[in-house]
Amino acid sequence: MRQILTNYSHGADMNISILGYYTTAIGELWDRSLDSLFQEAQEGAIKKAEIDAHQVEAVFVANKAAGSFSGQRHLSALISEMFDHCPPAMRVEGACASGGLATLAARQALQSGEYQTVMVIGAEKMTDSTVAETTSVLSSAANFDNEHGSTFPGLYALLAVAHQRQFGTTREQLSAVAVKNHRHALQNPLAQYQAELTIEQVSSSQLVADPLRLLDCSPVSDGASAIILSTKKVGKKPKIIGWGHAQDSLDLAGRKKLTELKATCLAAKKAYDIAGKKPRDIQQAEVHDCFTIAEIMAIEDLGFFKKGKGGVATANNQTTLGASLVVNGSGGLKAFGHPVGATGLKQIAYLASQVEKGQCDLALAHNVGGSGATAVVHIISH
Amino acid sequence: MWVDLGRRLWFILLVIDEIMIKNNPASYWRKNQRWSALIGRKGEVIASTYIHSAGNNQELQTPYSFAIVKLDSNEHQSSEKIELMGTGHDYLQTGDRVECVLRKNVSPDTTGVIEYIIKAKKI
Repeated sequence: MRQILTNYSHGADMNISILGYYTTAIGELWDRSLDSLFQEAQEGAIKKAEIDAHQVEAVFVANKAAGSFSGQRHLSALISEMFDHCPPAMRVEGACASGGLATLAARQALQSGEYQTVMVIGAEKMTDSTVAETTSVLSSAANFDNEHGSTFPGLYALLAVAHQRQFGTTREQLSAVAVKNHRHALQNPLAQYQAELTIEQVSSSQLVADPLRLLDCSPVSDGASAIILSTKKVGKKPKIIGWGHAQDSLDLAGRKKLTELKATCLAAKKAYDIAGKKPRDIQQAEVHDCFTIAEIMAIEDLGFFKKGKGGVATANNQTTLGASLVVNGSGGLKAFGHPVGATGLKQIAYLASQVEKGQCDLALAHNVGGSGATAVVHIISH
Repeated sequence: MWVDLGRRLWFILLVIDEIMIKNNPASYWRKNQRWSALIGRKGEVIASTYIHSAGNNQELQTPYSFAIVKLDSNEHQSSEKIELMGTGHDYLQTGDRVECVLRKNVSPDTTGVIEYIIKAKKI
């Protein structure tokens, strides 16, 4: 294990600066195409970084299912041609963790010394499809042969059932996650939802997969986000100081426990070890709240709260704006939105902005693929 | 308008195409290899949900149970966990005893293989 960690942290002493970042408005953007979303994020990040586009030596593209949603594959070439110099580009896919994985791939390329400045860009155009079509496409991130009939809400519902049985997590605690994140989104002009919810509204919304209801679920979204990473010595720019990536069984039946996401626990441990930080040091976290139960499990698996106490902590306002730990200050996937391929990047972009504005010194981004088979954690600081 | 109609038609064809890829005869035959090892096996539901909203492939079957089942060991097979849809609209709950049965999988595809799958029937 020590050997693995030593290898994993190779290059940890090399600073990775976030030169620029940009996220489009997130929502049902019927007037926007996939490539126009990519283009806006690409131009926005370059402008924010105050660099010439030719300085971008390579591009890492995050996307889950443009081939199914928009009939567009070969995204690497699509994005590369947005630059006059057509830099090398590659697409990375890891379901909802595509953005986090693309960032990992970019960091590895930087730390190998092959490049000094790269762009990581992600987008998803989901709202041209019906709910049933979208559900079908998203469910392709599950194990098709071993989880036939599953849906994403269905898989997280199984996790919720297990959590409720073992720890007594209540309906009100699940609803408190949605209420908090919608409240946070009121301060985010890019967020898909700008409306407060009540516990009663969430708790009485339509059942999707028992016990998860419609307002427990993150929305179907369009949007794009991009960050520019560099190993060049720059002034006061946010930096990635820790990272971790881990996997678990794709199908839930293959997991030892249903009350935790092992991949998140392992990825977080690696990230904390590399950064030399503890969970108590984190001031802001963007966690993967694709469903309300996912946030409760995440804040436990990331070490912020003891196992089984995440729901209580949320209901007691220990993760809301003004608390010592703010969870999903952007509104999270739940209210900021969940354009799948862009999600991991918009988390990092949001936290980079918070660090840059002095809103926090240490932040954590947690991006999950599938029902927890893939987890990526990044720690960001000055 | 024609562009929108064309995109919609194209998407429907794409989805049907994807269903056909997943359920083409060779793929279907490969999946069937486990049937004989599962039919008749009994087990216990360790977690279950009742799905009210599903994707194209299962929308016609909603609402239905989806469960993780721990199959009993026997003299030939060790215990294992699998994920199964419940039969019909049966409401499965944690602790229920179930048996693996073969059932037709309702599909919007009217041209491909008539698909059967293993489901969990409450006993």
